[in-house]
Amino acid sequence: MKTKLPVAQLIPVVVLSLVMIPAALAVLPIFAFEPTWAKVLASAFAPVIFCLSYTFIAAVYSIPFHKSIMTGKFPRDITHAVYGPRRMYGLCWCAVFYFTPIYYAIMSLPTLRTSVFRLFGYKGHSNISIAPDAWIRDLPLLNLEAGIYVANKATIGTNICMANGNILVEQVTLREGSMVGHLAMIAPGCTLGKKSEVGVGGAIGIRVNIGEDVRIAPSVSINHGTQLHNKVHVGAKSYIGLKAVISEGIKLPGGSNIPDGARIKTQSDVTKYAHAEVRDLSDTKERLENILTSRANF
Amino acid sequence: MDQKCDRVRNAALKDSVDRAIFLSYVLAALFGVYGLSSIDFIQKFDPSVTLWSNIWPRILFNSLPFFLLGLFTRKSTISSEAKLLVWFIAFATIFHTASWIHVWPIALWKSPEIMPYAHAANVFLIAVVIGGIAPPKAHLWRFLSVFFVVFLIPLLIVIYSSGDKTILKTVANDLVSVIVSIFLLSRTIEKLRTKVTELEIEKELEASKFLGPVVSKAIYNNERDRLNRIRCRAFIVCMDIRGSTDLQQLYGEKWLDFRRSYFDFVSQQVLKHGGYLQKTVGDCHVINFGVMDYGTDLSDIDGIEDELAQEEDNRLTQASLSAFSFIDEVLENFTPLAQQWFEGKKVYLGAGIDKGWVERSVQGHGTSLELDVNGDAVNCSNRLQEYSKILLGQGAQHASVLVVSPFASDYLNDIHKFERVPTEGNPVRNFAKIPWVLVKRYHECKIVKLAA
Repeated sequence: MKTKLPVAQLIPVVVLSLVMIPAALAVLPIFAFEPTWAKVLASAFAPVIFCLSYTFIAAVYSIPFHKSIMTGKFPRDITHAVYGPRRMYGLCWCAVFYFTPIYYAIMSLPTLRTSVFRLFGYKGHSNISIAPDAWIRDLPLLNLEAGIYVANKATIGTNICMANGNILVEQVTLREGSMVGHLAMIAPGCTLGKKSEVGVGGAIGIRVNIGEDVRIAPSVSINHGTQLHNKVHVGAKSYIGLKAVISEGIKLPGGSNIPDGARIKTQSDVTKYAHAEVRDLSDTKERLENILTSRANF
Repeated sequence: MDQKCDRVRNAALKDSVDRAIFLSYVLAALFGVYGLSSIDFIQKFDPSVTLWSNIWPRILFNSLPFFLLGLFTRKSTISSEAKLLVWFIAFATIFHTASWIHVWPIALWKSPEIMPYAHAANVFLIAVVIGGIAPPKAHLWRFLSVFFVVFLIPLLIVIYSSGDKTILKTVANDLVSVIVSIFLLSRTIEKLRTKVTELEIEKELEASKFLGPVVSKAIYNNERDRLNRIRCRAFIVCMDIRGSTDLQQLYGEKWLDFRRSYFDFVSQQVLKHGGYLQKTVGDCHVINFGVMDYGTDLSDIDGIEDELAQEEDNRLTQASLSAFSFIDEVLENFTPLAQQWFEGKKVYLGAGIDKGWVERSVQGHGTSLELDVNGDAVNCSNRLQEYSKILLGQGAQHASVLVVSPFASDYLNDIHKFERVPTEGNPVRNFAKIPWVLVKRYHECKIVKLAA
């Protein structure tokens, strides 16, 4: 599926117009007024006019491409029917996101932030706190509820590039009052339940489903497809393997190492997996018990 | 029960908060308009009051605070209880402030006759607020207490100080009758709303029993992924009571009572071992393991094939463990259970288990949808269950029998209790290529033990 959009040709046009139009608008009042005091005043307002018009134009440019911000797996080829327009949306968003002073100002003023987000296709709640250096993209796919907090340098990754040239795009859902800690990374398709917390430096894989009131301590890695049910506590520096399922209320101690596909249903299951050393000892104990039982039967 | 009460209470509180938010915006508009509509009677008692001097204080001290109150109540993350309390205090305070805009000063120092004119608006507002929000009983008392202290006492003091006892009596009588009537109306609305919420929750709980854990979670917990089409390997168990048709004819009603007890037992065991009761046909159960809790489909994620294979292996190991421990528990306990109903009569089960690719999907059309699991493994497990009849005829009498396909035995660690039976000469129906099956007989050793 190819797009009819001449993306490669549009990119320089958009970038240039994004700089030139706001610049012209910013200096226009300086030439429009005669008195010196008015010129000085217009000069003072020029950066403000530039910032606002720059953001507004970028956001308006993005509107035709909102419908291409959809979930799925696409080849990273700008001629592709979805990836091409997606590239254009990314261009507009990144023009604002990477213009740090402008982005910082937008994020500091909630009303302005909400307006800009809405223009970029955001449909979530407006009562949210996102640090200005937290990475977000694909705003139409951000399902953010009231009172969420995303700390500095966190990544809400609605897309992930793959080595085979594809890009995976999925929604990220942060339920009411949930928190993503400093430097934490959330992959596409994740859901963080109400009042749950991902600690500092946590890495949450693709399509991980985290329930309500879940506490994930710092530096925890959770592999793809894992399910953490409500009120689970994961200790610091733990690893939870691919598609593991941790039942409600389970507390994993720090440094736990849960293998791929494990189903932790009770707290006693945890002892089997807690640490690599403990697991080795458990295996040895089980082996010895089997030998003892078999000999006792003779 | 507690959980149900909590849900009803939370729903009632949330409803009240939602209406309070809406009412805030309505009051913001009404108080602004009141600046225009009240000017005539205010000027009647004080001609020096101008339209502008009647509008701007109402916008600044009434409309704007009500608008901000609505915003705060909507956006704040504090609890619903706290939101309602804040709203009650703020409402009474704004209402009190509104009264000091011309009306109370005129009543105190110029003419108490203005009070009946403002009284109509007061009564209207009280009725709208109490009837509109209709908070739960405890909160209604809280509201009335706050309103009494912040607005009603000052109102009565103002009228009393103005010196007109007739107006005081009229206002007091009106307020008492209005508040009592609206209180009762509010309680009725609240009771009706609670009843509706209770009915909704009861309906949901009742439906959940029939829908099963997967479908009910998908619908009521908004876990739609559980209904997604999944193709995976899984264990399918098929069990049937041997000779049940004869037994039913022999025992009639008593058989039906036993059947209920048996189905109850199987349901408990399915739940305990993490299986999913897929279907019942007569006395036959079809139960799957490893399909409904398949989890997230990651087959479209490139580069994790090795990890997925490892996870698949772990998943099937656990599903196998669950399926075989389920069968052991059911087949070992079935005969003792039957003995309680039919003393001296031996009743046995035949079971078959297979592992293979199955597809979980929603099937049907329109309003007749069903979450189903289909595939060769479902058919094969049924044929293996049938095969147990042949084995019964070949000397496996006086025992419940489990027939295991070669594929289902992949994850069995301990097979010393199983007998390998070649199918040559007696092939499994529709699955003639199966060269052998593992057979486990659940003899009456447990019965002896229980009887002793």
